[in-house]
Amino acid sequence: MTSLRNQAFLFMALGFTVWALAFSVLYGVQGTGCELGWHRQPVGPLSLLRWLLILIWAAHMAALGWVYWRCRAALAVTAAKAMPEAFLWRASMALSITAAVATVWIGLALLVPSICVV
Amino acid sequence: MTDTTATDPIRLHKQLDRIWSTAPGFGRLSAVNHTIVGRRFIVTAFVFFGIGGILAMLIRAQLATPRSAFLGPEIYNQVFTMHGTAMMFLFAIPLFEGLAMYLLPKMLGARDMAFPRLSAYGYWCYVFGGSMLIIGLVLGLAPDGGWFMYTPLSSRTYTPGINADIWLIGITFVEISALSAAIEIIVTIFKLRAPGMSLDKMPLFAWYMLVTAFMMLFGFPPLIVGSVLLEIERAFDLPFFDPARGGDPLLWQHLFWLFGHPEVYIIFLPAAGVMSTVLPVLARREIIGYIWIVVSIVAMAFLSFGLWVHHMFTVGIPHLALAFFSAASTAVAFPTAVQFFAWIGTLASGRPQLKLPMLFLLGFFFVFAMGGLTGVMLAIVPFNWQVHDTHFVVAHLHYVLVGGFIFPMLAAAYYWLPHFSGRSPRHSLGITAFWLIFVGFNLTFLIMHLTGLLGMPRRIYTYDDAAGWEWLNLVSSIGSFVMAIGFALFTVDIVLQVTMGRRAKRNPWGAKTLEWATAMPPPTYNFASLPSVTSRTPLTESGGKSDNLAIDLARGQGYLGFVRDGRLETLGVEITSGRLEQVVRLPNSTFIPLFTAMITGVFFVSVLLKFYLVAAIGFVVTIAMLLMWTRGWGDRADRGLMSVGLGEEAPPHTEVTGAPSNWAMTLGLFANGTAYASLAFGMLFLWVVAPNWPPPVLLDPSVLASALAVVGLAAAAFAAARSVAPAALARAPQRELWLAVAGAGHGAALAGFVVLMTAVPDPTRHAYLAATFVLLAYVALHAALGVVFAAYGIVRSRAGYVSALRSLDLRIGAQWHRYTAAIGLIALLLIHGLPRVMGS
Repeated sequence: MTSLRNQAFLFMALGFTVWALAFSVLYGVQGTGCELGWHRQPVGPLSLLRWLLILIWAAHMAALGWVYWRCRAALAVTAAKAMPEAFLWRASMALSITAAVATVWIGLALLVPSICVV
Repeated sequence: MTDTTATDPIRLHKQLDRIWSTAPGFGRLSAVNHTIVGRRFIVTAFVFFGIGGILAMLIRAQLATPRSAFLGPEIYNQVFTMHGTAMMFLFAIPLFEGLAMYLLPKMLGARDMAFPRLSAYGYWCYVFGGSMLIIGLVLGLAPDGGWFMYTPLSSRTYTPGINADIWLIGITFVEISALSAAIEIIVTIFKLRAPGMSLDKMPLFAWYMLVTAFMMLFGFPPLIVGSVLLEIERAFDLPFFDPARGGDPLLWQHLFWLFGHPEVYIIFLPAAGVMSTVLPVLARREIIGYIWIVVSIVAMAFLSFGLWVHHMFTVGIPHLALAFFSAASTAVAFPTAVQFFAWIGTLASGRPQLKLPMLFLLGFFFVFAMGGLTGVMLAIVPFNWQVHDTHFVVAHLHYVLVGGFIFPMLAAAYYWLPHFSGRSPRHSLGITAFWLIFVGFNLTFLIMHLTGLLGMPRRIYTYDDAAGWEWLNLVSSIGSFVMAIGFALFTVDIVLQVTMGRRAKRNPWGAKTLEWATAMPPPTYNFASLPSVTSRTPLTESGGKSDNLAIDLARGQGYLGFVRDGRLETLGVEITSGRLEQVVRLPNSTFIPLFTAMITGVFFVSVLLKFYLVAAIGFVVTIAMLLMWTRGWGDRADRGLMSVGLGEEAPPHTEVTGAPSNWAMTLGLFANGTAYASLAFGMLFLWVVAPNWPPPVLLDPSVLASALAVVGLAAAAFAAARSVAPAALARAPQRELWLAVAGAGHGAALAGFVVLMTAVPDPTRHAYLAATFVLLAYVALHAALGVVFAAYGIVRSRAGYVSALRSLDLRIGAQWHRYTAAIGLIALLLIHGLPRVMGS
């Protein structure tokens, strides 16, 4: 119960922290990959760089899924006991969904045909 | 213990006022009380607003007609640079800091902010730093490279004088106040609330300020790092931004806008907090969608850190990266819209009153919605390319900032003025002021969109009459003067109300938040006793009438309705639940913050004038004075549980793990870590992106010196952890021995880092060497401070301020020691790893 109390506030920031991480890593790997020529190395139908970016995006989506399920479980416990932390878990759950939508939204950019064209 | 319980409100008031009040005359300069410091921030911010407004008038006078000879290009450049600088750094941020300082303790049911002396220190840093900029302007030496100081224009080659230095040093000085305010606001909201006020019962304004303060904590360090690097480049020729030597001007743009775009939301969110506070009161119903507003504030804060590159869409960035930032830039409209709909729904389902603050709120709706819509347009890359650096962008940013900040803040001024002054208006000048500002603003900036679409660039001091922009500019200039008359009338109205207004009745708007339970104007201690909160509308909790709670508290019928040992006390709570946790002792008025700010000023002015020896002395004395703040402060004996009234007890803050100052160090290290990450990012960015890499020479770091640093850092971190272990805390010699080991560890690490620094080949040759040198200097400085903090821990222990229960001083120090070890090891990893990667 103590952990649910202590973690509640942290989880409010966790969903969008994952989003921010996805955003930064995608941007960083894209820049580095372009510089090192990974976009010219084919791996199957796509380039190495595009595979990497898709993998990074998918990993962060999975992480957001975990955050969502964790919030949902904690909300069930805290709401049943009418604890004040239930509010924070409810907000955290909403934020994890919002962060997932935002991650899908920026992930659409991966469909851009030209990864490294300036 | 000499508890003194008053029997009547007047006696209790006298007892409290005696210990909380500030001395008159010159004694006023020693004020640390949040009501006084908050008011000072607000008034000073409006003075800078006046200066920025006069500069805006000069700009519009110059642009009113083609080929105007009113201002020459040199003066014009200083004027528009200082207009932006004053409005952003000297008006907007300090204004909401002041409002937060004034309001938060009252709204949360506390007697002051968590660190009153830090408030005062921040205020003086703000005044001194801002004054440096204004003095520069008066002397004709003001910065003239635009408020964003792009390199290479702001580099020594193109700005050889002192102008850019004044900006870099003055703004960094001012930013001390922003960072200190951020820490103070977070800790106050976390810890200093009335018992029972769990986070879900907190006023929305506090949620807004909490998120804003976190944004400041992470947003300002990149700019501080950028400013320091640019100043180092200008002063010592270390080439961070010079592409000929491995630097890159884009690094400056990244660092600046990493701060600069969140800055827009840092300014908007407090104003939105005012909206969410004032609007429901005037709509006579509780706000709709409390939880969704909280969710949207957090979402907005995060998303706003993913937008910075939309200021750089034209600099030559790959399409995919542009798509990332374009997507994030459009996404931020959604949480904004959630708040908009919550406000509109509250209005629609309430019984709105068209009182003066409401007029300004309606002005906000119109103006900010327009600015938001053009913001979405600018988030779209092709459109952005078309209007980049035109007056369309100037129009957009003014719609966002004036709509999103000034209109709500003027509403706030009218809404809380009775609280500030205890007076209500006799006249209705405010209505005329509103219409002049509203009409004048739209006349100025609506038409400016068209001026921009017709191709008029920003920052040009004149234009030809064949350009086709004459009448548009003339109308904008006329509009701006109408707006200025409106602001002048607003000022007159406020002065009249404060000096000659009618005595205001208590809680004139029928609000339900705690600040209206104080007397008007509020006493120095806010509440004679502190409330217990059970809902989001505490003023309805005591018999259904707000006056009842106010009277109960004034009679001392809440918590801490007494004076204990002449100490200034308020309550601290557990963060999420709001359960009573500790009694927080606060300091009274002292000149130390003023003197410390003056010495800090000596440091900054010496850097500006290139008196580096004096600057070094100033830095050391500043650190010494900051440590002196704790002299005689603390308990020399365990107090244990103390009565807080209403049959409850709590320990003093020195005897709990979640003390405010412990949180302050944690948050300070977050900001520090952000600065460090910005520095490391800069180094990696240059390696990946900048031209003329790899460098002509790579560092060959000494293994011995590196090993010395590693062992020293590890020893310091380990010893610091041991010093706060229960066994060591119980025995003074043992904990002092561990502290000595920690200090020695830092000393060894410092020696290692200094050896490594001296081995760096001439750092002016290439950005890699410059970045390596600065990175090592950064961790060396931390190790040096680690020695000081370890020694400080020993001094405090020997002076009797530490025991098994009272370990706060050592735990604060331990955080520093662990953090320094972490960043030191990362630095070593970078300086060893990067040459290997580049060499391969």
